[in-house]
Amino acid sequence: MMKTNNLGLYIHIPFCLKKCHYCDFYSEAGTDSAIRAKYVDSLCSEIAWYGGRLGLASEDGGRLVDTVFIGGGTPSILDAGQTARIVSTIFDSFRVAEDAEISMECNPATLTAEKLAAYRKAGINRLSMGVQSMEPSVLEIMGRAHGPEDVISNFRLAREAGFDNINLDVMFGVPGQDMEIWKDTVHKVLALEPEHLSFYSLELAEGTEFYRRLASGQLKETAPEKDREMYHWMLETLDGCGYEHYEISNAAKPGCRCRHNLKYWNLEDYLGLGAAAHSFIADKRFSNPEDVSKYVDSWQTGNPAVDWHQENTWEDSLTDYIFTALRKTEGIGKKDFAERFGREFWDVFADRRAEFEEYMAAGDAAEDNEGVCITRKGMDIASELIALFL
Amino acid sequence: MDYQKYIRNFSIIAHIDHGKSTLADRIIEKTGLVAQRDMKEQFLDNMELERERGITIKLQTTRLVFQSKDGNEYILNLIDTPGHVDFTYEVSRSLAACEGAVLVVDSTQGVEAQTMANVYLALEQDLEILPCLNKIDLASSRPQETKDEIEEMIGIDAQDAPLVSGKEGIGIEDLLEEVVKRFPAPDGDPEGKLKALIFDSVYDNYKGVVIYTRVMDGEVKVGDMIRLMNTKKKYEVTEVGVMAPGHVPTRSLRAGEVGYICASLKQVADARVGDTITLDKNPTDEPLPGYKKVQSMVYCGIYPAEGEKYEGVKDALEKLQVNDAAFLFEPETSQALGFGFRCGFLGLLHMEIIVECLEREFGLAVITTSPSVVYKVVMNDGTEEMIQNPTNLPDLTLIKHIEEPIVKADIMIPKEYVGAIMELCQERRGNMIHMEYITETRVQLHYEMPLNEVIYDFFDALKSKTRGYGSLDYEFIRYQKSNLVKLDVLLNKDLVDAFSMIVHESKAYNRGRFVCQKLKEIIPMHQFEVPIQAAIGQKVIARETVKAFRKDVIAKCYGGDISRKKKLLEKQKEGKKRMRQFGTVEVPQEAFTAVLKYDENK
Repeated sequence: MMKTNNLGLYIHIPFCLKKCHYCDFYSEAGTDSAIRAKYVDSLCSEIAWYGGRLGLASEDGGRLVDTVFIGGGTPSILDAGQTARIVSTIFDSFRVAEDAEISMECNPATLTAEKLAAYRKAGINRLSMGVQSMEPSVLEIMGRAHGPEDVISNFRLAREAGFDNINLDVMFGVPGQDMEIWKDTVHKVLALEPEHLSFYSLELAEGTEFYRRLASGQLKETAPEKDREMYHWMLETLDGCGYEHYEISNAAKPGCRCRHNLKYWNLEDYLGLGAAAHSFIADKRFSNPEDVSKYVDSWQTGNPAVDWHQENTWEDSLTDYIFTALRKTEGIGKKDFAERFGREFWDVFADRRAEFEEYMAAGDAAEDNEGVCITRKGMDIASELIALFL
Repeated sequence: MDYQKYIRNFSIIAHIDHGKSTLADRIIEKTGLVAQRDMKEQFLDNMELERERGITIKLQTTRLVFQSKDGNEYILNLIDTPGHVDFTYEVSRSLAACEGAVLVVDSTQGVEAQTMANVYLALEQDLEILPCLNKIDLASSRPQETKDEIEEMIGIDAQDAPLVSGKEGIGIEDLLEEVVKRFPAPDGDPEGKLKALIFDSVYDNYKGVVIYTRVMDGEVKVGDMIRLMNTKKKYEVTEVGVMAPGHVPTRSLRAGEVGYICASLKQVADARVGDTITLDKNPTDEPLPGYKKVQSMVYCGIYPAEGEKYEGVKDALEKLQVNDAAFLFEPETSQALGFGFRCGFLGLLHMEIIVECLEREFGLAVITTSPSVVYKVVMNDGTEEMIQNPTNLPDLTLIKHIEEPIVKADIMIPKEYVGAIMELCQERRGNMIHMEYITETRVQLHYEMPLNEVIYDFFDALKSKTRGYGSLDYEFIRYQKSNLVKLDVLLNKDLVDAFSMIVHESKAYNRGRFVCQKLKEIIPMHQFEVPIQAAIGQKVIARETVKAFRKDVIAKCYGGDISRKKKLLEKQKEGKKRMRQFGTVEVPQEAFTAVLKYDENK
């Protein structure tokens, strides 16, 4: 995958009805509509401000934006009008490609036919729905606000509204979820025939409700071998249904890979807007504060809210690239690597080659003339393999 | 002698945690020699490690000037003592340099076992003992009961014992007045033949070895040719002085005085604790009594960890040895660990201190192997070999028998623990010689025990079974024929020589099982199953399995995750560097010491 000069936009909506028990993303639960309204104002100011630097109002007319991803939090918590305003501000501020992928995350039970129609009209052409499980007891343990029937009804509404590119998120390795429950969830999800599936092994993050319950012994962690059994069963099932596994936790029908997320994994530029959003532009990383009021206060006075930035060194970008690119099943292309970093892959990592070959012998990694990659078996220990190059 | 009238040489003795070092700090502060702001938390415990553990390892000696109410100015030489069973000999030499000892008893705790052990050491040296009750500022302080206990258990009058608080600085002056009043001034003939006791020595980058000494008779000054009576070596004195603190040169040191001598010694091992200094041309007839040669009781291998340089470890060991006469090392090689060193120590604590020094003060990552005592192997042809490293044990068919070192162990405990401790000693192959009641509530047990049972975890077990009240002293008495076997550990079918140990046949099964279980807890999961086996020769006697490791993957990685999760992964990798690879199995460093730790539930 050659690096392009195109830009991806990420818009963070840090609001939720309630906090899910596994979630460690930045979001505020139980906020009132006045705060959300102010937030949307700030967000539009920020979009316009960056439009002046990287978008239409900049000297050269700006970079082509070919992906937009509105994530959260729960973006669908906003009024349809607010969402439409955000998208139209993007169109007004940036040179957006005609075939741009414009995704939005939403939670089942927050969608209506009217909202969906408004999203379509605004230009959103891809939905990502947080299903997580189709088993009520598992949804309850996870602290999700919806039931399995909401998934089915909302999915139908989305199709009826014209969405022909839908992702569904599911999770495995969740306490209380056994193999049978997992299989049942996957079967029900596949029956909806989504274009894209994300399937995440539960990660226990400090500060989450799950972490607390686990530490206090209220919940029991899924054994790693069970977790891996679920993962590999999922991959095999997807093989048989016409999906291509293209990243550790993602698979898609041909042509339906998430172009925005691929920007992260290909170390391409993206601009993250909204509280807690991260950007990577021209080898610089920067981010906004994880704090809605700080963010809003900044933009009310017209000042960028960035509170962290870092200029990547050559090594930083090199390891960032390894860290993300090896997540893809296609791995790292040698030609691409050499073009980006000015040196051959095995020239940079000569001292790791022998160890990498041990992993190849064990069937965890593979190499050909084109590149190096982690095999399906090796995905279980992807971190170990990635760490080899860090 | 007139000048001697105004000198008092004394130590402070106490149970660990009874506040000895804090009290010493206050005394130094009161006599005004160190400004408060210059004091680290506790002046006398000045190794970082010591401060952390709250124990004194390396002696610190300070000369104080005290203006007494009687109108005279006194020189107080406060000689510190280390506080652990490994250093009993060093303590006894420090005490031999004194006329008196302040016995600090925590008035909230009362008399404890180690207090007794220290009192006995002081009594052996015929010291005047001045009891003093510490921590009287605390609400739980019970001075009268503590005084009664001291009288009953130690048999010294404690009714007038000064009441102090080292923490709050209460009663310090009263205590010093008592020191002046109660402790005898030193005697000794300054005109006599030189006789001076070495009670400590340190290495100084500029001066070379600095010998800390108490002059018993005679006088020593710069230019004198001195002779160390036990090592029989001669040196010319280049400097004498007192610790004020810091080295302050003086014209001479005379009988009764405490100070330092520099004489171009290259390493502290040349100035052995307990040795007697005399003048070469007019020597004394007899050395001072009580000299013992340093004898390493425990040996272990110290190896550079993955990524650490051999030379770096060697340099550090050399530096440590320069300052620690009791520490020995020589190069050795292990199949599993590569090039390293065989090191000899006074005991297990001494070993832990050296290892921690390497890690903290020198910033080195090292691996230590199972400690071992020195075995005497008698071959079929009648020759004898001394074996410090289990790996070097000759082929069993060539061996007639093996002998192991036996120690005389004196254990002091409150009487309610007698049953538990007798059981423990029996379990460690101890042989009871006799038992005596010291007071109505306190018992001393005398055992003969194999040293290899003592070094593993006996002290930890004793402490644990007596809630910290038990104390132990041991000394080598003889070698004795014993039924010993070599226990090997195999990881994934490969023998890891660094884990090999020599154990009594009757203990092999239990120890093998314990080691396998411990290793199972510590060795992380791998991508394959790792069998852990304990074996004697070809015979496997215990086995555990580390289940295959199957998951090390970050499930979610999007825009904001990249920096954060990458850092986490880098950290994780850093942690793995501290593991050592054996064949295909990675073993964390702590595995080597953890297999030795006492575990009450085992």
